[in-house]
Amino acid sequence: MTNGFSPYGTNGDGFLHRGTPLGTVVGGSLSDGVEIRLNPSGETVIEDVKVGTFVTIQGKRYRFFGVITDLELANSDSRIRHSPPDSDDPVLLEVMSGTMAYGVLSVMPSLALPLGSAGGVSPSAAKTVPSHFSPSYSATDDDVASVFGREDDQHFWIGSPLDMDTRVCLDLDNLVRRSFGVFGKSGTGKTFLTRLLLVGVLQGGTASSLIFDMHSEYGWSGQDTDRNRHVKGLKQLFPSYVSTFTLDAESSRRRGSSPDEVVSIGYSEIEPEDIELLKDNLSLSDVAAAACFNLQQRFGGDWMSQFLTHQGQGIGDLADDLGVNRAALGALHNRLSRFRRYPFLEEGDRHNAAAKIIEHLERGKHVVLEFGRYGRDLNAYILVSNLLTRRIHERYVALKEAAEGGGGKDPRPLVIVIEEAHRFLNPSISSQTTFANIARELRKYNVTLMIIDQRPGGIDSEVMSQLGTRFTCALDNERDIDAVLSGAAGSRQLRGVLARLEDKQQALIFGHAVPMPVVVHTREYGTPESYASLTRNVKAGLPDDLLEGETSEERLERQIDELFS
Amino acid sequence: MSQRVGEIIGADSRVLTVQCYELYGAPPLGTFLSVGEPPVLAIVQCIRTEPLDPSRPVLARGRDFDTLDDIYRENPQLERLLTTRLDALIVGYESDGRLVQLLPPVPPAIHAFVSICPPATVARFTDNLEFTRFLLNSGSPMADEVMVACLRTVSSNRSEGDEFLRRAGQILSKEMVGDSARLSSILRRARL
Repeated sequence: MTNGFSPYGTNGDGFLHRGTPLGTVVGGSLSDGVEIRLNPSGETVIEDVKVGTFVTIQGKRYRFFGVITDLELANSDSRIRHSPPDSDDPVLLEVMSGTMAYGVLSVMPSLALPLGSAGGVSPSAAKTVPSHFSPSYSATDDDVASVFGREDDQHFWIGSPLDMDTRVCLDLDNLVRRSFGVFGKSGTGKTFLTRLLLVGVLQGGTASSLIFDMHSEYGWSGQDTDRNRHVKGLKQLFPSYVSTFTLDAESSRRRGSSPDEVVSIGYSEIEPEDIELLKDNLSLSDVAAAACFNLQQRFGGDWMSQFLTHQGQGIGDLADDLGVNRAALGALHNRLSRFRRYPFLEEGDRHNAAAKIIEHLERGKHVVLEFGRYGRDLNAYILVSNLLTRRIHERYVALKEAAEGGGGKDPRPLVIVIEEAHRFLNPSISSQTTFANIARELRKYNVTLMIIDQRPGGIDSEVMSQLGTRFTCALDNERDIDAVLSGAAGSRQLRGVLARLEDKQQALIFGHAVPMPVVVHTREYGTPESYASLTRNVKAGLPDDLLEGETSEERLERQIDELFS
Repeated sequence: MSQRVGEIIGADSRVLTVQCYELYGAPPLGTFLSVGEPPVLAIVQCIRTEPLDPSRPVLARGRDFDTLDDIYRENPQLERLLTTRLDALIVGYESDGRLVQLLPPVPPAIHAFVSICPPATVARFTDNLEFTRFLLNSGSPMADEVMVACLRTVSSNRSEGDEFLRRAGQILSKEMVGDSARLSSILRRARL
């Protein structure tokens, strides 16, 4: 062994320790993964091995790291299938088990580390496969740490590999560099995983996040329906770093939250594109939706308010005047009138909620926009999130372009979090949304998306293909599974892993934030201990020079004191 | 002193032909034999009783007798006209005090004495079960029967019981990797 990095690690007394021996490589390929025949007389029986488990393979030149993607009961004599040995003959059963009838593990080697590498060398993507008869072992804690890194300011502990206590960490820089998605059917822990990821983004300190909090579960507090308890939201955990905005002040008050801002939006801030996006939800025909553009041409920025002042015959006359179909304009009027029910929509154009949000974001804060009771109204959610995002995006584009021209510093990277993404990133309308633009532009303008959805199959494949990291809890629907895995290396093998995730607290993670696909048992969230451990590492993420627990006003006072002391 | 049962009357590198001193005095099928000094170990794989002179075929003589013993008592010449011979498959030899499971460099000499192998030597030799490959691949039509007989004899003299058969089965299963029925038959009959 070299003086440098030991591929096994030592147990302190100089003896090499590896995981439990599993078997030896007997076949396979780089594209399909390798086959490992389970040791015939080993202590491990196939029932001890689980799909998604992390394993290592000791090749002649490299040490390979991979996950088990499938398990097979194989035999050397097909007659065993037709005439198995008598079950009351233990000797015969034992002799045949492991010799003529044996287990085969399919393992996708994702990473390889040259043997004898010096310490600190990270494994790189495997471009070869282990030689025949290379032994395989279950992964040890050291293996996991060498692949996923140790927890620090830029590595966020997200959970543990299956049947292990060691920590799988995400590379936070890589995570926020591109858009990412959290998927899973209802009740599989998406929300908890999202909370953890948001804490991670906050801990990383390199990006701010803007959360369009549909069900008001990230800001102040959320519900753990399984344990029937309340869990703390970001604002309670990190009061100095998080600003809460609300569309529904009453709901926020009822929930004990004291929002930093109550958001109002002027009718004049609504543009025809926003209505076009809601076309399906409002059951508007193409003609009716397109009429918004005519109205904007006629009335200018205040088109919506002015249009809604028309009543009865006036709408017909206006239709004739604009040259649009009377019925279509009538339908449009009818649907837009529903917006009158939203108290957060007001006359005038001086509300500028987007500017306020941007102001908080630029100060390094993370903004949670709670929708309160309007979260149940998809139209409100789509309208507001798209409208605000468009403005924020425009602002970021301007700032970025100014920075490129030497006229200022780069805007702080921003992660925009949206839920129910399939409703407005589906192929028919995604091209009209700012979100799709953000997903496509990647981080050119320092804005990325975090998409949370239970029906990824409904999201435009172009958007899905742009996601850098995907976090997937259990999914049932074939189309959803296909969508999540599309474009991923080894997607065929990962399919088996994904299909067998447990319904709770398990997620498959693959993409830029992790060096290789891994199934994790997600970290606990909701207990006092979990809060303590989550808030421990956040100093690195302090916006500007804010101290922990300090508000911006307090900072100002402190700075004045320091200046004159 | 082990029991001497006959001597070599024909030998090649693989199979020995032994003539027994006593008519019907052959050790049972599957018995380990010790041949010559230093000993070559072989397993009885075929026993036959036949006329000493192949040109004088044996005739049926029992029409007027009630029992087999009556026939031999009334025809004492039979003891001189018939002989018992056996074929034994070489499975190893002793070299420098070690028992090795290889074919000896040269076969034993004609007239080398053949004895039943002492149980202690058999136990030592059968700690390693690689020799079972010789039996399986002997080409004899009775290879499986000899294997069953050998396993039965050895396991009855070892304290491990079924554990010995498990070990043997695992060795055999590698040889019979595509023939589960054959393995199953051998192991089942070895425990009858």
